Amino acid sequence: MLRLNPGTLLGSSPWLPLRASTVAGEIDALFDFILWLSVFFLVLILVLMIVFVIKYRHREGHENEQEPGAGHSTALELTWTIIPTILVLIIYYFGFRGFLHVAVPPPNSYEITATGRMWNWQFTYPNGYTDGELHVPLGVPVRVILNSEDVIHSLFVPVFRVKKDVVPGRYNKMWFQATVPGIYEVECANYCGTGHSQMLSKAYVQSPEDFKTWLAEASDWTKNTSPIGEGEKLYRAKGCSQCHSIDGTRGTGPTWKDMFGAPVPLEGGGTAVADEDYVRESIEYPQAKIVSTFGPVSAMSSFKGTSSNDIFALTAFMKSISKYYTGDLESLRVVPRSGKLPLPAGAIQSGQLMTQPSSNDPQPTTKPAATRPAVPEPLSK
Amino acid sequence: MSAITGPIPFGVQDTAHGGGHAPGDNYLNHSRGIKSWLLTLDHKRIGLMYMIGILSAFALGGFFAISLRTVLWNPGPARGASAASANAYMDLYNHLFTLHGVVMVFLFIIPAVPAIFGNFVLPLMLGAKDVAFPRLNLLSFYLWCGGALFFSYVLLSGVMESAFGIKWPGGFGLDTGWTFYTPYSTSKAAGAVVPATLGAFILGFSSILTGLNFVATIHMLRPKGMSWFRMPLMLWALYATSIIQILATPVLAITLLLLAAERALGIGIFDPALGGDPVMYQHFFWFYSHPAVYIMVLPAMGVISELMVTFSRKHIFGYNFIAASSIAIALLGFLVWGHHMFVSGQSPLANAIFSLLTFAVAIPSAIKVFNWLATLYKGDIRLKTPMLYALGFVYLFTIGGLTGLFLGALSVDVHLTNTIFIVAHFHYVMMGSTLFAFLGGMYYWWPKMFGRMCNENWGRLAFLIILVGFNLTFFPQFIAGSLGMPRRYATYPIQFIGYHRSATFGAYIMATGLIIAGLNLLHGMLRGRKAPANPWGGSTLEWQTPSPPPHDNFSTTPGPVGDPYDLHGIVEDKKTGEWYRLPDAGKPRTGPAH
Repeated sequence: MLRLNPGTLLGSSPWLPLRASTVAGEIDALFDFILWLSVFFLVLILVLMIVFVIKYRHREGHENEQEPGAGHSTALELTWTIIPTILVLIIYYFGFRGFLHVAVPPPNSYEITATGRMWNWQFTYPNGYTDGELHVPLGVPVRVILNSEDVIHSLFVPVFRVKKDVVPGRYNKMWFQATVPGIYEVECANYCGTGHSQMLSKAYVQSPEDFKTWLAEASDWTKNTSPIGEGEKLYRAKGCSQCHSIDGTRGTGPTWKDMFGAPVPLEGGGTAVADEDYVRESIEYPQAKIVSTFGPVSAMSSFKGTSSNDIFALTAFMKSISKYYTGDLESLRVVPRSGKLPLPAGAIQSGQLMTQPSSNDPQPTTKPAATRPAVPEPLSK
Repeated sequence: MSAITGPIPFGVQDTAHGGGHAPGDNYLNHSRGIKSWLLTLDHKRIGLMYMIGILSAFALGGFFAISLRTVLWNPGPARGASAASANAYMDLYNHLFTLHGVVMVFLFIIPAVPAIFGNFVLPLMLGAKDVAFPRLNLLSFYLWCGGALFFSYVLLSGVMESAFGIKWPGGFGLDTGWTFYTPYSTSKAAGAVVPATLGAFILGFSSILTGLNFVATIHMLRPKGMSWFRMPLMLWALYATSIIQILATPVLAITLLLLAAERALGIGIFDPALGGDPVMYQHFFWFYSHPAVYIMVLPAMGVISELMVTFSRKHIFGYNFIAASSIAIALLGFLVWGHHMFVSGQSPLANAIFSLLTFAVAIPSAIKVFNWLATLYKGDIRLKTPMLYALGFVYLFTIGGLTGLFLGALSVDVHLTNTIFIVAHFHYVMMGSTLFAFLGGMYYWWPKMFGRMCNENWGRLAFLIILVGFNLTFFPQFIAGSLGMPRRYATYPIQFIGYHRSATFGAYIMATGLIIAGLNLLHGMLRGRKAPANPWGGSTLEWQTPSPPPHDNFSTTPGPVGDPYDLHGIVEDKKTGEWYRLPDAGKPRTGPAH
């Protein structure tokens, strides 16, 4: 299950967000090293300055007691040249090493494409499903291909310590491996116009099993498309359209126009009614009942494995273009509710922005991010 | 009117009380009438005219800063705001931060120290009558005005559109950020991008010509006896700055022309939709704009070296190292532009090289700080207002420099870049350092400019208020940035409200301090007590001429020209507050003059 880290931006250190990726520990260690080094030098310089100013402040009668001539000490000059040089080389080395870890993804990373546009994010998963939010499996290296439709954006996930510009006309890449389940901020870090500060999303880190379940459910068209609409999409996406026309013309296979519900003459004699059962059989076992004049062997290969939902959708689409279907088409045109996976009840969306702080209203627990308009809505819902 | 003057023969030793001039005659009252100012070739008058323009720009940029901080007091528009008003809210912020950046960078901080102090004191420090090319100098000033005029157009178009709904040709306002990143600036932004880039283009020429003039002046007009390593460090800093101005600014000019060509004529250079490359723009832009950071801070460092010597009553420590570090910073500054682009997708190898070179710049900066500290050691420190600013500079520049280490380190930069950590970092360097040095310089040379002293108590009070306000404004931004608060966000997550409100509160305090500091300067100019030729005990040549200086700078030849920071024999007359060099100067002294 998703676990929420309340106030995900408060992590193990008061000045850095939660460490939720494999590279974060190394980066934070360097951050802290530079921090304490800086504190040391700042205190050193301030203390020396204050001590000198107090100790050598002007007092009457002590003017011009300084040693004559130009002050200089080669030993001292070399000391404060060489020590900083060594220190910055150390910082450089660890910064570079850490950067290589951030820059080079391990082999066999899971690939997600992120598309930035003014002003929202779209994440496309390997099965083609696109979502407004980023879901990643826990403990699995994820490589994100970055793509912009308009101007330069920058994908930034503070808890992963990763950021990369999203540049139109080229694909930048970034990767991370999440280590802590939770819901985190995803931000645009490169100024991109009016809605720049609204170009936000969420990263969901889930166990690989939960991720798989989520992706299967989210990709499930029954949640967000009408059966007929999905069937028409599948007709093109699965390649049905290459052989089966929907306008009555003859192709490699019989046309779907006015097919559903009609009696079909079969190769080798006899007829069959093109009902749900016939359609399912033809998808799974194309050689079983071949339409007359398209044989003796069907050119179609088996699509066994097509989900029953998809077969249902294709059937619905065939019904919608057949005069022989007399059933209720309207119910097949209904789009179900948004298929977004709801956040756990009571989830605080720490990045949920931007309203006057006076209000104590409970934050909404779901929002239709996928339908976010190009121009941001008013900031409260 | 004096034009080019050759090196001035030396040998006359004089405390220079303005011998050959009618009493009271100085560059301010030497000639009268508006024309005598607008057409003047006198570097001092040109410096003052720059000052009026640049301070107006500073006030305007400050107004934008206060406005944008006011917008950020709340995390977003009111609950229930319509989409249109929410967009207007964000657009307002986007315009404000852009105009703040553009005005402050191009109109204030780049010209501030070189054009005001450089113009006023550079020839005086050389003991010269003017810069090498006085007419070119006046042209630089009018180019600055021309650039400012374009920005005024941008501003006016924005006001006209938003207040009166009058659409002007060429877009209204500006919301690209001062960086004009493509393809947003060329293809999407609604603002007056072309007028703004043309303004920056013209300002660039002002900058180039000023740099050219200073380089020629330092090469040609040094007095006999002033070898390179006897120049005041302010001149080293101005020289290094001028080199950057001459070499880097043309690149900006070309880039902005290309940008304007793409936007106005649709020629595909940067927008991939037209076949261009948007990252190439960033390379071009930062090739200028990173060195420009050193145009902003190097002359400030020069001012600090002068202040440290005068108010510590002690020779600068490590003169050669400070001088050399100015040149090192100027040269290395050309090789680090890629560190603005670590997450742009440039190759990891390029990142590695730029990161290494960036750390190399840290070394000369550290050397300067340690040398200033060593100058304080065993000094006779006087905490006059300019010195307070110098000490404040060291404190703030140290923070600005050290936080640069986070950003130079590649892996840490990936997390921090484009957050408000960056905003805090560069404000510590540009505002905390350059502005403090600028204010220190104002208080230091003000008596020389106007012949009157400012009130010390008000000056010190203003310094304290500015220091507190500055840290309240920018320190919280380091923490918010490292926690993941992106920069240029009109609206922000509620958990950052504390940091943002501290920053807004601090900005108001800082503005109060700046107004007090400004009023004190103004009051000093009009009502302050009369300033002697050398009110602080400075050892460089500009303190040998009366305050304000006569029209042609020196009535007698200043000198001797030796070690610029030889303070021996410069003593204070406790009754008049005037410092003068004892006639037997040159021999080390052991006690006070009285």
